[in-house]
Amino acid sequence: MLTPLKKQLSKIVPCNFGVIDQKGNILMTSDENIDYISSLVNDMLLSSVFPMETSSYVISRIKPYRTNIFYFYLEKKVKNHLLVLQLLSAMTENFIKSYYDKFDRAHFLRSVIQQEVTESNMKKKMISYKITNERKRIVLKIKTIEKTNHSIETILNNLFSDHKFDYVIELDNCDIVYIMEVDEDAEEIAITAAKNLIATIEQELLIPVVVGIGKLVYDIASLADSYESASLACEIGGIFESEKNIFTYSKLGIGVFISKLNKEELAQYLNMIIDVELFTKLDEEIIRTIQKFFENNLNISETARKMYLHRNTLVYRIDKVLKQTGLDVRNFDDALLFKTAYMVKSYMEKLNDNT
Amino acid sequence: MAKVVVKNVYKKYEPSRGGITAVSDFNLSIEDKEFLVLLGPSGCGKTTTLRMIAGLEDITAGEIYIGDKLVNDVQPKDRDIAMVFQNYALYPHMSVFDNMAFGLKLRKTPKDEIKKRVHEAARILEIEHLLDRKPKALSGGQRQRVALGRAIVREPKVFLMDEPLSNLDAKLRGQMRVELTKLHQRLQTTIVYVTHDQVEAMTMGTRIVCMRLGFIQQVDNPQVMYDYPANVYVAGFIGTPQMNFADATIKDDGKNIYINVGNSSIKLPESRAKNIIGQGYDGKEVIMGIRPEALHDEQVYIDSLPDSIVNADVEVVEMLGPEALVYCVIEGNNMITRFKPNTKARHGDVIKVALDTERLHIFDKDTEKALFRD
Repeated sequence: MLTPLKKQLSKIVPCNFGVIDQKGNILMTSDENIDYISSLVNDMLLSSVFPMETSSYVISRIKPYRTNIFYFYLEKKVKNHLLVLQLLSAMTENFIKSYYDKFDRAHFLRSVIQQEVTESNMKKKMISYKITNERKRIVLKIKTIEKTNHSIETILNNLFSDHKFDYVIELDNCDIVYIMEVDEDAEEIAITAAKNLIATIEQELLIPVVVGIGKLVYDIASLADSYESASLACEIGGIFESEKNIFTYSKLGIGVFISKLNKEELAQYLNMIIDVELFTKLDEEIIRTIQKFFENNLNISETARKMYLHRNTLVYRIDKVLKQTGLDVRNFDDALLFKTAYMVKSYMEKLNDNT
Repeated sequence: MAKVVVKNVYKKYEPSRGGITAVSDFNLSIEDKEFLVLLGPSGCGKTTTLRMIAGLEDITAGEIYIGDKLVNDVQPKDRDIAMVFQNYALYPHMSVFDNMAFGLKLRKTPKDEIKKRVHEAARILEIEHLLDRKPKALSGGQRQRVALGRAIVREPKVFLMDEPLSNLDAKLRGQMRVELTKLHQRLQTTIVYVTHDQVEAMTMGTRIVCMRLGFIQQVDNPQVMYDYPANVYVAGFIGTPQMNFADATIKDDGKNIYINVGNSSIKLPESRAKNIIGQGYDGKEVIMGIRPEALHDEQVYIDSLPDSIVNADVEVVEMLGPEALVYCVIEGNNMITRFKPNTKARHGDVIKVALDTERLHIFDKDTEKALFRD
């Protein structure tokens, strides 16, 4: 917790210093030899007069909160050591306070996204943690298959350390939530952040992660909604686009409705719109081509260019689909039917696999 | 340093994705210290292949070896690899030293060892003087080097790089290509590099694997791939401007082999003809391919290649300084030529163009495979 502070102070303080907590644990010290400091601890804990002085050290008491007490000690090898002690103690108190504020805020926001806070309590806490209610925020849910012992949380806190109003919350070892405050182009910013965090986590830890991007919300209470949509994005996106690692709630489209239907309803719908047997006979090359055709907004030239196919080859494949299924995917209505049928069929296969 | 062997590897996505096969029967032996480039357009399976080598993606079938060790069931972090991605981000509040050291700290590497490795990586990358700086005080190229430094400090057997230069502007990308090549020479280690940019592949790779729809199309060194593409796809993908193509017919008159394009008949030289004689191509339709620099308008070529002269209607002339790109129509086919800058060709002219038949490519119309590759 105090490492950044120690680094800062080491640059400006020419003698030994450190921080001890109320149980006598040395939290930070610039001194390699801690034996002498350890021998001071008992006197320090029993003393009621501060600043306290020994032959080599001056010690002050810091109370960032009513319940927590810390001690700052300074070697008397510096001029005006009492004044320096006062200044350094004030810096340390502010540092500890801001650290715990952030920690407690994260705890509070975890309760908010898990809908464990009453409305009145929420208002009180927002005031006490100085959290502005009405801001544009978006929740990113980061999922991994492997327990990482807080490493992901550490990476994110450092990666986004210049985003003062963002929060990283570890739900459990495999699910982390990142609450982002955003201005314009919220979704674009969230996608860029997701790409960066995936690349960094995969580079540093070599573990695969997926990210669900939730709804844009405008107040603290709605964070629960954004979190829920981010979770849904991971779940549904993982079914229909399993080769991707970023899933955006707003792009889930009809996948959301399909995932809410039961097996019988899905089968009924599929039989209603298509001859399932003929549809199943379409080969992988055709399916892949049509998917690309959809990704390129039914534009034949663009699809052919991106697939490095001759235009006539693409037209031939589209005609083959028409012949085999009766659907001309160049027309929007037929394209929609094909896409829906394909997604329903895929989802049914997924359900069958799971049973 | 290690060899990487990929044997009969498949990646098939779940049935919910229609069971699409992203990578099919991938076989490759990547030599120790090689700079191997996986090249292809989006969706060709190159990144999936790289991620399977890393262990970030499960394989459906096959075997992957790093060194002599079968790594199918080895966790990515235990495969002795390091990855570099396109979307690298540095920790804004940390110095360059701490940015490079962070991953090692997470893995609880001893302090002295961290210091040694970071300084060594900084020396290799020539950024020792930047170790105390924060990322915002670095240029784009310096940041990219720090991102590379993070991978180097791991001291892996194999570097896996996924389009690491794609987010840089064109000028910086050019500089970093050179830097990466130098880095490979200094590190003397195996690099597997994914890109969709054929210029990157040609300039950096010791070998290129050209991929399409999950299948390897060709594995060769850059010059061989350029000079002898295995099929129409590779021929069109490698080279800027790309190879010109035209539908053509083979004619065997008993003495010579000709390739007929529109009303022009071009006599094939012995070196090309020998691969076609007796192969049953007489009268058959083929695809002719010719690179822009194998078309000439200079009199010396017109005089010396009398059997391969065609007329070209000039549409646009782009003067680029060291060369001129001339867009023209030859026998009904749009073609690009790369002429010397003193060309007299101008918009609206009909000029004579000589085809360098020694550099002509002919592909089977049905299989799109090259008829000769030597």
